[in-house]
Amino acid sequence: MKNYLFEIYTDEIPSTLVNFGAQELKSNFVGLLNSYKLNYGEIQSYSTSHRLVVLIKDIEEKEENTLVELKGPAYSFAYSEGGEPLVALKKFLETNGAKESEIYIKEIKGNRYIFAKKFINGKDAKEILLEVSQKAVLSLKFPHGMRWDSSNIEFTRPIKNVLSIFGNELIGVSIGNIPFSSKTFGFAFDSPFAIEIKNSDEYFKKLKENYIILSYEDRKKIVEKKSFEIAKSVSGKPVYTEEFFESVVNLNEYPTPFLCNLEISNINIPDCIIESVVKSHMKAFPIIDAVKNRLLPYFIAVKNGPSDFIDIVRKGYERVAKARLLDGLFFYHEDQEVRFESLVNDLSDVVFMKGLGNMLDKTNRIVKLAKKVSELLLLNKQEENDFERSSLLAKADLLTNVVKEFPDLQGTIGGIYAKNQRENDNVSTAIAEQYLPRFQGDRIPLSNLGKLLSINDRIDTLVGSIMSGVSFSSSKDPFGLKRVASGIVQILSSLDANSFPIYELIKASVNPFLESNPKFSDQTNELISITRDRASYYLKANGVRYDVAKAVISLPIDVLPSYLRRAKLIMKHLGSENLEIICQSHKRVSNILGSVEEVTCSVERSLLFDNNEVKLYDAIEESEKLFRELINNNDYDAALQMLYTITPLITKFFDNVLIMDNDEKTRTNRLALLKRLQTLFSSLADFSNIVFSNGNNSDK
Amino acid sequence: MYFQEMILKLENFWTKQGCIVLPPFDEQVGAGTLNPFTFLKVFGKKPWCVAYLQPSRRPSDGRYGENPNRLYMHHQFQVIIKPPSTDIKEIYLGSLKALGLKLAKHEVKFIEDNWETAVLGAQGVGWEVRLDGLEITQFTYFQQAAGIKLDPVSVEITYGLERLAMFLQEKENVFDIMWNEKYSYGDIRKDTEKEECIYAFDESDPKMLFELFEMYEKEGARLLEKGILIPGYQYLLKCSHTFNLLEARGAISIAERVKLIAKMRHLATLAAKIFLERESENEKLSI
Repeated sequence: MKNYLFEIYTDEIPSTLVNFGAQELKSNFVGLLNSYKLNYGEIQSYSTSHRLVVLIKDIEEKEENTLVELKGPAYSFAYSEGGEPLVALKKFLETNGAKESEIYIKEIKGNRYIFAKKFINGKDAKEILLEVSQKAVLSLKFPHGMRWDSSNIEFTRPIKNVLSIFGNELIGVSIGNIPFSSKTFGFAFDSPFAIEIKNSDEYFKKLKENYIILSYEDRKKIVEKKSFEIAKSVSGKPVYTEEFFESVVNLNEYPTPFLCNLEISNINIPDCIIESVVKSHMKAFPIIDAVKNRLLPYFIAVKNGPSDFIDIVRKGYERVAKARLLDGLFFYHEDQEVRFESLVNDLSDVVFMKGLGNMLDKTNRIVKLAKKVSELLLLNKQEENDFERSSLLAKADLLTNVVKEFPDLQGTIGGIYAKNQRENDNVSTAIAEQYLPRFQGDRIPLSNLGKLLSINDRIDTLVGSIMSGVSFSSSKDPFGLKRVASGIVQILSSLDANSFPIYELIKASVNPFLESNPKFSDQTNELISITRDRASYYLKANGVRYDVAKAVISLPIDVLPSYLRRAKLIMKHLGSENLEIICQSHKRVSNILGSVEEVTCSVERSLLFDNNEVKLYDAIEESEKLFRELINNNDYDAALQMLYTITPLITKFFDNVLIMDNDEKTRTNRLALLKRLQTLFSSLADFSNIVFSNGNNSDK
Repeated sequence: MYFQEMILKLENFWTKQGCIVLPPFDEQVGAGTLNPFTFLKVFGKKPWCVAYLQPSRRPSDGRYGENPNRLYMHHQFQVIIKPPSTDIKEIYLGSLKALGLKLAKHEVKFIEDNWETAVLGAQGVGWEVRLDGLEITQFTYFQQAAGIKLDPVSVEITYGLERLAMFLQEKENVFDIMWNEKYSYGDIRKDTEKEECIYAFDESDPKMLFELFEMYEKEGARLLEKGILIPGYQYLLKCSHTFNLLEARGAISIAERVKLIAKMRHLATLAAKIFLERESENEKLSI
């Protein structure tokens, strides 16, 4: 058994694709190797900005030998009537190297065929690795791939060298015009000299000596630890998201974080601009005063390479940051001279989406939508005014110099300008929060108006896109509509109320599009199903089992804000026998009601005569009102407990009462009772979707 | 190192690499890419290797000469190599050494940066090169132009000379760069910077510019349709600069923008077609 080391050495891979590339390469290897009978141990992958590496441990020298059964010609073609072998048989024997004495006959669907067994010698591991490595690289798909030489193969960035060693032996993998070699390279700017590599152990050892930290986890730890130490030295802590952190760390093969000064002591500039300069432009981490929650006049940059000459590098970073900041300040001052509100009309010059008019059109639509939502939610006059005002001003900052220069500040800077120009706090906060959450797991707007504005803005985008025929699938979503819809679900799920007029809102958003273009058709149902779909995804991401998610998302769309709370409750009760009874009853009721004509009449108590049905009816009658109240108050636990109190009655009812009675009146009345029970269940969840395996609870 | 010395050094360096060194193209352009010695020469199979200085005007970036980092007109030094040699990155790093930089004392980072221009239907994939955090060069592989997939690709190296000079001379204001031992960048450029901005932002006549655009576009189309390449292409460049002036003035609505870009794109496509036809004819002749 030997180890196989495979390294693709390239020019700088985009930092957001470094980890991705290694994972993809590894999974390509696994996929390809599994079509062979070659035994191997663990597969590891590594990557830096210059290399994608796969290490496969303990590979057998050869694939396992196999005996395969080969189907030959039909007997009637193989032998003449006199039993003489014919051409077809001879060919079959010849191509498979078999002897006539080894063949046998099997019958398939009434016809007799010639069969032979063939012993297949397992392929040499070297042969397999050669093939697999080439395919694994060439089938890697990167966003924005490129061509760089006459081979015209596409890869994320130019491939410079291919190293592939099995044990101590080179495997001649060449990719495009790049021949195989026995070398790799150390740190690109200090020791770019070729290093001879004899085997995988030596590879790891030599790279370490040459300032290459191969594993992302190791680089991450270094940057994390050092950054916190550095920030601590100025009594702060570094600010970053996971994703951004990865994109900074992976610009470096040997990361060395260092502290930089920001000369901003005399500059009055919003924190968000400083943050944007440090992050987007300098690819560095801002430092925050954890107590006062304000940015400190420092940042942490990461040098690629050891700390030699770090003072020179620091000087450069500081100078660039300062110039950029002064630029930001210049734009900020320019913007102050313009009345924020006056920008709204010029939004007609900003594209919203192709075929969907401009940002002024969008603004007008969300102002109208704000009015509609205010009505639906019974907002008071002040709230309604603030909502409309924030909708009107929401997109004005797209025309400010700061947003043109720092696009990631849209919304944030609008909120600041609105506040500077004496809009009230509700309005300015809503404007600032309208783009939240920016990604899954990002913070949700804190203010109520911020939530409502964010929902309206996204509904408008989603509705407009779908109406104009933009679509998305699980793999393709060029306009980021999934994120838009997910944002809506995340915000709705954060509401305290257990329902929200989503159906009406979507309808209200659909109408102006329908009026604006006769070619558009009403897509309300499609939009609701998209929203449901995202809700289901959200539930699963929050640990809800698929069948429980299904039970919840089949409730009316308007109760979406309570989907997660309901689902979590059911998850908690999955082990309960009572829940199982409810689920089975619900299923049974649905099956029965599904097989008869729709029941329209209500239950008449006088027509009930079996004691069991009377008791069930009385129990429903008694608890229904309270049950609904509990649900309206978000007390799903108590509501479920209440259902539990009637489960014995349900069991008895089903055990003792024949629903499909011969007497029509009795039958109809009993069906009406079932309908009542179904309605009761369904106001909490569609329990009929929940799966219990083998009649046992299955929490696992 | 003085500004003019930098230009000489780079010209010298790339001459040694076998490049033809050309004077700047004498039309107003927004970037060295529009120079026909880039935009047209990247088509076809014939090897090409060129280096030139190109003053580049981007009216929207102008700040009346008041901002220490922003200019209406800056100087690009452009290198195009088709097909790219495998060690082109090392050669490029060599050019920085030729400018007197001791790379071991600095950090050089290649950060993902791709570009695309709708007007030219062109696309490049590669990096911006950062020297101690300062973007000094765009280093990209030209993938497509006029909507045509380029084969072979060319490498395009574009140095931002002002940035590099500020770094080398340790200046915080672009106008403080020394052009030679006597004159500063400000001495040479500042008044013009200001005037060009006054023209672009305050004095230009959008109505006339729209008319000019239309005339240029018609003339360009007329010439290119007759197969007259460079004079026709020059009208495309005039359109492009006029468009940039209109944009700086904030005079183009969305609908117009789309239309104007489509018209320029059409000219670019015509020009590319003529160039490729000529090249395939030449090839036939040489066989």
